[in-house]
Amino acid sequence: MKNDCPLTPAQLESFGDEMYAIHQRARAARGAEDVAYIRGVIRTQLRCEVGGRALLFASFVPGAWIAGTALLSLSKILENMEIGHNVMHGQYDFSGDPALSSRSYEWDSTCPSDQWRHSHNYLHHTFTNVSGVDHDLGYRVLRVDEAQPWRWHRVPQLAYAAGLAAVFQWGVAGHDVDMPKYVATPSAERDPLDVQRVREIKSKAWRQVRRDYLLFPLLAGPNALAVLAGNVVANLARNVWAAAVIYCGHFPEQAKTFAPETLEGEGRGHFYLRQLLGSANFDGPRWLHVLSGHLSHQIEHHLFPDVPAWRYPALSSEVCAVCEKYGLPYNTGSLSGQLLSALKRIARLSLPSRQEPALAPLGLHGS
Amino acid sequence: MDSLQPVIADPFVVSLRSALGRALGWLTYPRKPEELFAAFAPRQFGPVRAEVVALEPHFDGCATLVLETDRRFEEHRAGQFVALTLEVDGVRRTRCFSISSAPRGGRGPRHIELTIKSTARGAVTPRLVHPSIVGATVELSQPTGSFVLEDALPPRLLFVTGGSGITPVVSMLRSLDRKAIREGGPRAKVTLLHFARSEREALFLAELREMPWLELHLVTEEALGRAPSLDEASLAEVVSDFENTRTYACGPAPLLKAIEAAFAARGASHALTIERFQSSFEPGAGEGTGTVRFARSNKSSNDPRTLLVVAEAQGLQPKSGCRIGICGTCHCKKLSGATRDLRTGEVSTEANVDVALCSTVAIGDVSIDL
Ligand code: FES
Repeated sequence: MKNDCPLTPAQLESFGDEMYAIHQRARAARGAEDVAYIRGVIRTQLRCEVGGRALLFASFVPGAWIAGTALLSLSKILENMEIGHNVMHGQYDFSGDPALSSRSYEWDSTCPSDQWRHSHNYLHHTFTNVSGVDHDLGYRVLRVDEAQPWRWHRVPQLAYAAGLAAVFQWGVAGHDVDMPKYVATPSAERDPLDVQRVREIKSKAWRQVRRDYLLFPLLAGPNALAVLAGNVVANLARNVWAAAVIYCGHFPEQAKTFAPETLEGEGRGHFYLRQLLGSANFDGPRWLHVLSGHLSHQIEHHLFPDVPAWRYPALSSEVCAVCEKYGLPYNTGSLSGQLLSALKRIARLSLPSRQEPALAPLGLHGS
Repeated sequence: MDSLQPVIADPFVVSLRSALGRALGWLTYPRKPEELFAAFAPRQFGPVRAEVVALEPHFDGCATLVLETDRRFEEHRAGQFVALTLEVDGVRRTRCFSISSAPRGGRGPRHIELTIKSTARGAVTPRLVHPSIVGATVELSQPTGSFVLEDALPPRLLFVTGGSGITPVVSMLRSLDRKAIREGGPRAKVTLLHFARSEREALFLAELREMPWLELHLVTEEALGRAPSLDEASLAEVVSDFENTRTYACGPAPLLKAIEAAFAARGASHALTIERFQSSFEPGAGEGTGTVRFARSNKSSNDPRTLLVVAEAQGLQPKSGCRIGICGTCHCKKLSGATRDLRTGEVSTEANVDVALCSTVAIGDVSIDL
């Protein structure tokens, strides 16, 4: 079966040890450089945000609206991708700096950080691409895995994918709660934990909306509409960019999905192997890596989520070498190529699958 | 009086300011306005900073650091300490030190002095007493602590100090000395009983000998030929009715214990004020040799397994996720003690840092904020 383990038990063990050794070295190397790097990014992001908002206020000047919107979009992208996502992974916790603490960081998104830490750091990163457990497999909206049952409503799912990208932060906000089920359940029977979560989402979303769509436009007086439009576009740009990066991370055709049995008694080697096979990279210039929060190195990110992300490019050659040694695929390509591949998969799975789902446990025995 | 009167603000101004601050917070959300200000104007906002402008060695591993603080640093009272934060290899490390200069008694209007004795293999103090520290910027807390002289000077004062425990006391003595010079003579009879390893290691000795009003008793291990000890009788030899003498003590734990016992024996504990050293923590004998205390739930255990397992065995329900050190769900504050991170093998002796419960074991006694 296609997901059968490509390594023998002995190989699997030494593969795990080698990955672990890379992981250990990377953890031990964390230091002043990492802190200086992320503080620099935060400084840049704050400058972009303040500059962008100021330019939007001056949007009667020709070109200011475009520049302001671009800077604000850049600020939001940097904050969500390179700062928020990575800080909340605990990549900078070693510094003991409260401003870089995964436990207290709150990001510029309608998704409450606490729920993100649960749905993303725990569920997604622990059960990566395990069918039925990792809700990032399609976000309960898309069918990206043969094992998900096909229904008629899947047919237009390419359009859903585009729609989800446009409102991505709202999709992420509702991610920790099974929203369709929540809405369908009479309020008296709802899980109190979900009720609490929905309350938090509402409060977080209100603060975001109040800032971007109410206060800043109002402060701009006669310029209100231009500022409002700038904020809408900046949020949209960030949403679409984040969605594109994330679709590229786990949906390209070669990224594997796994049966729940995979998790039973999963050892270190298995864990690293599943992360490797379930993720995909894309290459590009340095700025592209930074804007993607280094999720362009999704493979390294899934292998070493607690290592400061800007170090992934340097780690990738080591990871590649190990993959080559064990004859394992290292899935990478251009951004457009990976995105196209992901969209193809979404399109393909909008129709019923020809064969039965070929999911199998990532078993211990090679085929 | 040394301390300044607080400015009493108009309640209207106060409420206006807090309303404005809140509205500002809506605009800067999710960041706090202060964070934004600190990013753009670190000198005016953010933590108080100081520059190390000079280092004066006393003896091996012991030196006085002269710091020039920024404008926001408040005047200290003699005897108080500051928490100093230094970034070492990207890691913030905080230690508390008594200020040894007298209030307004530094080299300049915004200078303070810290006299620091380094602990062998410490992460912070060896760097602080190393010449390369000059020019470094550190963060400071505002001065705190209640080990201070009362405003009304009592007729008699006794100070008992050991080793670098003299640092807060020397600040008091220096401010008394300035007062004595101003007023043309001391108002109180002041005695200092100081324990040191040797005369060479007795800090500030020359300066103390220059204080004509101070009755100085120096006890050194070197002169005695054995470790000095203190009890009710030997204390009475210095000040016969010490129970009626306002007394301040600072030094190593055994000394403080002895002096506490002496005062308790005469039913005079109220006359004694003690400053305990924030002893820098040394790891205990080994993993699983100490007690894990869960401070908030008041439970403890000698279980040597990972802190997560120990907490759960105690009936606590800390949050956990992956349980293999990946997701960060189980991160929790360690209040004190040494731990080993099983992922990296690293030993942490810092107080108030986050640890991953699922992949951390205790070394010696540990206290967890759970
Ligand atoms: S439970 Fe995931 S890091 Fe401890």
